Amino acid sequence: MVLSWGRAHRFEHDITRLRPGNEAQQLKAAFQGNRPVLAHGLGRSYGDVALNEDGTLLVTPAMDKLLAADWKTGLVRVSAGLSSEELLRICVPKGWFLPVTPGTKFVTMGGAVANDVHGKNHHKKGSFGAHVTRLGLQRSDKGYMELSRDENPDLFALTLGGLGLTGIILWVELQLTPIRSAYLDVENIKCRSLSDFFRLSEESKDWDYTVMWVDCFATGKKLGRGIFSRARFKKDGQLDVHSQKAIRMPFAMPGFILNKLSISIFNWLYRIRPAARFKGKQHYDPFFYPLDGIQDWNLLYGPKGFFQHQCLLAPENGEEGIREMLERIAKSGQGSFLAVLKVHGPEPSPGVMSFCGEGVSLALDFANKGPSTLQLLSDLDAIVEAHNGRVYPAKDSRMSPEFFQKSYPDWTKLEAARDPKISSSFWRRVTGKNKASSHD
Amino acid sequence: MTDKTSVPKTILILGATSAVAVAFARQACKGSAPQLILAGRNEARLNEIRTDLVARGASETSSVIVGDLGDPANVAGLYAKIIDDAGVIDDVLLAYGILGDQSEQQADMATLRSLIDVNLTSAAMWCEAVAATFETQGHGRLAVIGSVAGDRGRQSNYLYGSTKGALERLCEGMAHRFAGNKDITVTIVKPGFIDTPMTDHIEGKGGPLWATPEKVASVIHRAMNKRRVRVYAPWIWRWILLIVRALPVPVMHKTKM
Repeated sequence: MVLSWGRAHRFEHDITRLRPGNEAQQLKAAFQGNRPVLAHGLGRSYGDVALNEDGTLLVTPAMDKLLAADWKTGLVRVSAGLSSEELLRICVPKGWFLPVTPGTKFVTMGGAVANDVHGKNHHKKGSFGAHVTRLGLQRSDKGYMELSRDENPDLFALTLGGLGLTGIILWVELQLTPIRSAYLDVENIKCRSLSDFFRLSEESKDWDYTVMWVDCFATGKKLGRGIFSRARFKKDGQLDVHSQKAIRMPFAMPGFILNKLSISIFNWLYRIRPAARFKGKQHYDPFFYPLDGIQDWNLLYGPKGFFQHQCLLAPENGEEGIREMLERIAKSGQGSFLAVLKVHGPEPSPGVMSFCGEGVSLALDFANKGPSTLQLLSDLDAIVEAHNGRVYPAKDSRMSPEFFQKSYPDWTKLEAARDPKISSSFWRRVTGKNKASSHD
Repeated sequence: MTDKTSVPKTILILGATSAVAVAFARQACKGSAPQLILAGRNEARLNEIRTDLVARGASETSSVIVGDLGDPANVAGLYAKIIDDAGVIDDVLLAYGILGDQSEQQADMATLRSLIDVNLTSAAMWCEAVAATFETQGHGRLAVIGSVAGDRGRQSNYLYGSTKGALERLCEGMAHRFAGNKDITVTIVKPGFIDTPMTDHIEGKGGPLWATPEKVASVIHRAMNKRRVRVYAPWIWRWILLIVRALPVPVMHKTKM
């Protein structure tokens, strides 16, 4: 069974693992079948963007070749199933780093393109798609195509953040960023309130990476308190690669383990621990990927899984909207202990359907406690909608079609450019075609 | 020659398109820029793999040798070509082999013969050719991929198992032959289930006994560095096979293994 990272959906799939050398045949066979097809990488999307109920999943991680690499310029072309984890092991010793990286290194390059992922440097570097120079795509109707800003530019822009619907992404050409050390200068700063967060973000504009962890249970004047982190790569030092050692979550924890009390205690410990005021040198692995050290950490949320919610609010509405959301969460008592705030930069994403844009984003997760959690999430959607914001498809599994279509008005362009053989559970849900059989 | 990071080596990989071989070659590219000689049948795949490995740090001088390695008639010619190009060969991985379908091998003599030609006859010839080179140059490390199936004849795959078992005898004998020379090592690696295209058709694949090609490849590297003669990949198979080998015949014959 293939689950997404939130583990809240259990769908039947027909699964084909793409194999180097056989992939052309495998793609052809999948396209000739009657079921809708979708590429699936490492399954780190939380909701249903990488799921395809009763359809075919083409699982990509065995497609992990480097097709070309110029280590003088940092331009690499890689198979879509290659993970950030493996690419980092190759490029860091050569003095290159991912231009943009999300909070886990277990994502494929194809997935990074399809979701147009972002990271702690959005305010400086924009989204992942901004660094993609060329793509190879296999379509059921038009065959093999290459896309770039000059060649098939419309389809290129629709493929960045296109949720894998414009064709099967075969390879990605990417401009890496030079580094002279695998270590960063990191400063963790205590943040006392929401306005403090916006002040710190403004002050830290010149830092390459900024992010804040928020304590969701703080209310009143303390609302928005947390730990603000900023960092930049050191100018010189060792180009050490991350360790591949990790401990593993052995089984799904019982659902009651995460409750208001345990999360409050965690939040308190997290805030008072010495590292919360850490200033100094840190390797990229703990800085960017703190949770990668625990394999299957999603099992912490119990057998029913969990929901993520990440929104982006326009800059002018940001503070007010975030305040409302945090108040609503504190009232619910369903705390999120991985709550993350980040100010995004003005650079527009090259992706037509990209989540990224200027404003402030808040990422939350909630154990699946059934109707009360779904109600909370709908209420959060309503606040986002009232502030002209949008929710990140890669993390969603329940937003309404109306809200999606309103907040991503260009969805009709993606629908028009979609490969007729490709679809996903997410897409059928938000376009109101819920059954795989109604797929055209 | 025991230092694995400093001096770039020349590494010959026989059956370079196999998943374990690719993982082995990729791991060899860490820390040094080895010259790889990638031998196999599928030229296009070999060239893609060469590009991947060079991008990962293998030397630009890495090359591709195209031929049917499993045909005993080809071994001498192909090896002469390889040795002409390379001069010195430091490490060799013999990674090719076929599993096939035992019922076909039982029903058709030609299929049976080809199984033995590929897995044993040609492999023995490659090993001896490589051993002669090692002897002349005074150093070298050979690793051969065997199988846990070679440890005891079992009704389900004794034909395949017998080829791999014989290969193990060959390797252990060759290791004995070079026992006095610490710069020449011979290693037989015996994997269990590996998650590769070769096993994609097996129902119920997956679970704790299935190893990734990367895992098996890292066991091979470690075994070579530690100059081991015989290793299971991963280690759990050592204990499983200890039990399987110890089963008395009457008990064994009651099972369907």
